[in-house]
Amino acid sequence: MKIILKGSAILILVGFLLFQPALAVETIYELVDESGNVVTKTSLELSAGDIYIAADNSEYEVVGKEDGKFKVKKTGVVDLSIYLNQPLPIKVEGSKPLIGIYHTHSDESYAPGNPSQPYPGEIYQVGKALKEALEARGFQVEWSQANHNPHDGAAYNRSRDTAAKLLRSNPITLIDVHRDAVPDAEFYSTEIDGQKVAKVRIVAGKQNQNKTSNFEYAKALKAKADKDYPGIMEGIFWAKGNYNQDLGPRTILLEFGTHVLTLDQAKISAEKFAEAITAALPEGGGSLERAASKRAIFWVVIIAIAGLAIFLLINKEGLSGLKNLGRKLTHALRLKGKDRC
Amino acid sequence: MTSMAAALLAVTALIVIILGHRALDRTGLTDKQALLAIGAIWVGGYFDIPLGRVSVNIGGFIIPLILIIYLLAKASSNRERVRGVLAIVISAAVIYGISRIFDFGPEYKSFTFIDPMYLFGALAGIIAYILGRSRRAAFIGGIGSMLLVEAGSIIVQQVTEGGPANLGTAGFFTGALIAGLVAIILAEVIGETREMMQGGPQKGDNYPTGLKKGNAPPEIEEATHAFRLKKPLLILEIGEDGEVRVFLEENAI
Repeated sequence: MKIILKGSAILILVGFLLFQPALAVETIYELVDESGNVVTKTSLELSAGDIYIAADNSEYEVVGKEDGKFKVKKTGVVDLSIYLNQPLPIKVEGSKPLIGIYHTHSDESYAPGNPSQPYPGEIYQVGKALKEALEARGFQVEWSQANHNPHDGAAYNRSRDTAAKLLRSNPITLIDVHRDAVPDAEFYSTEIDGQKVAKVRIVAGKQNQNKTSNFEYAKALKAKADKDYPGIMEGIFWAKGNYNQDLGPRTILLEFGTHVLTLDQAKISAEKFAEAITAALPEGGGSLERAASKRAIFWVVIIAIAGLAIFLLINKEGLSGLKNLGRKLTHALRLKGKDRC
Repeated sequence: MTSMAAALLAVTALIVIILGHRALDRTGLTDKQALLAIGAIWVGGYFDIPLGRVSVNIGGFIIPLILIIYLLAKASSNRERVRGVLAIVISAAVIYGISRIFDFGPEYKSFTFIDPMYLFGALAGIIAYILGRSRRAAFIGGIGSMLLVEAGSIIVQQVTEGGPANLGTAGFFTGALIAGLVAIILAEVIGETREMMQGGPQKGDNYPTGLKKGNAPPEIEEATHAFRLKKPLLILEIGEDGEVRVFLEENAI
């Protein structure tokens, strides 16, 4: 009887989970400051402490959520001029640096058609426009057209394989090209040289060891884009999330407009934004691994020490358990199976 | 490579080797087998096998698949094998369901409390540990379920849409292996904590005879992790290389 009950419970759970419809519900949040002004809109689930840098470089920190809106407080105005005079600390080597481009969400498309289309979604054409614009500026570009559909919570797991594969070629930056889902064409567009173009939003994840260098990189890109094409930047989110940005510094997520804009508006935006990428990166080559920072090493060591402390705390053998682990590892490394303890 | 990048790589490699070795050690593999598996995954991570338009990585998919099949085949009883397969299937269903409910990207209903890689591993680890009641089951469930979800989604995608695709090409850092590592670490933390809180086997009629003072042979003096079971049955297995392994019913401790 007990087994039947257990079995039924498991079957119900599995059935419920297997037949979940893919969730593509637009949940749009407004970010509201202390005076009640709407700072921006997003579908990103933010947390207290997350940072948003607006188009005018005002910096806001998320302080909480109330009535379906995120409350933010202005913490100052970021001076991005330092990024115009100071190149990013990338060791230059060789010529024709390589840039990697891929698309985690292979279905993303624009108006007037369905915003979610079978592979390849229109987002690949935005990636292609960015690739060609960067090649015209002297970069080599490795553009992955890999399919990561379906657009679900495991898409980043699938695109992780693509991102890591691109990193084998040692690109100077790795760009995941997306479009946003804020249903407001006016909010997400601007006019440049008489043309209506999609604005660009940069998303840098905070749940990885490269969070600081990726945020710096995002700010450098914004500074260059603001200089050449004022108004093209929607802003920068530095918020919880990873988006495979743990794989290396200068791994960045760009949102070219939103689904209610047209593909052409997004393609023009990609062509113009290539100018900012060109200006932010050094002319010679470089690689992601060269930007390994002291901070990254610091955190790896801290995590290792914390892990060791937890091991000692929960392992009954305590320090002797650690000695045993070390002894076993040494023996194994020497491949002395008979000496195994 | 700068000295800083080299230092970072060295520290990361050391942590991965220690964690990976510890994890594989808990699955019942010998030290040699564990190191061989780590080496094969690391080296195999640089090699892809093209299967149509899909690049299948040796270290990130083929070796973990062989490892899971080997561990299932090596299980001490059919009951344990069935538990292992059940753990994989149920964990895979849960991971698939979660990935349909939440979108971890910044565009739609996002969920940013924890990275999906770690969430999937943690879920698979807990489910497999509950079902299999061992660290080995957690490891099999963690990796196996992720391999099943990944391969399943790529097969469906290729049948319905096509296009180039990658499977396990992140090598050592592929989602399935990270999930397996998270699963076994979680099982280790839960298991050790539970055993520590319990204070070892309970005294009384069911106290394992082998653990009574003076009765325990030197090799199993460390066997303080015994559970009090309804039908306590202690199995000693002495390997060819002199390795002594202690089992309670079918579950290795």
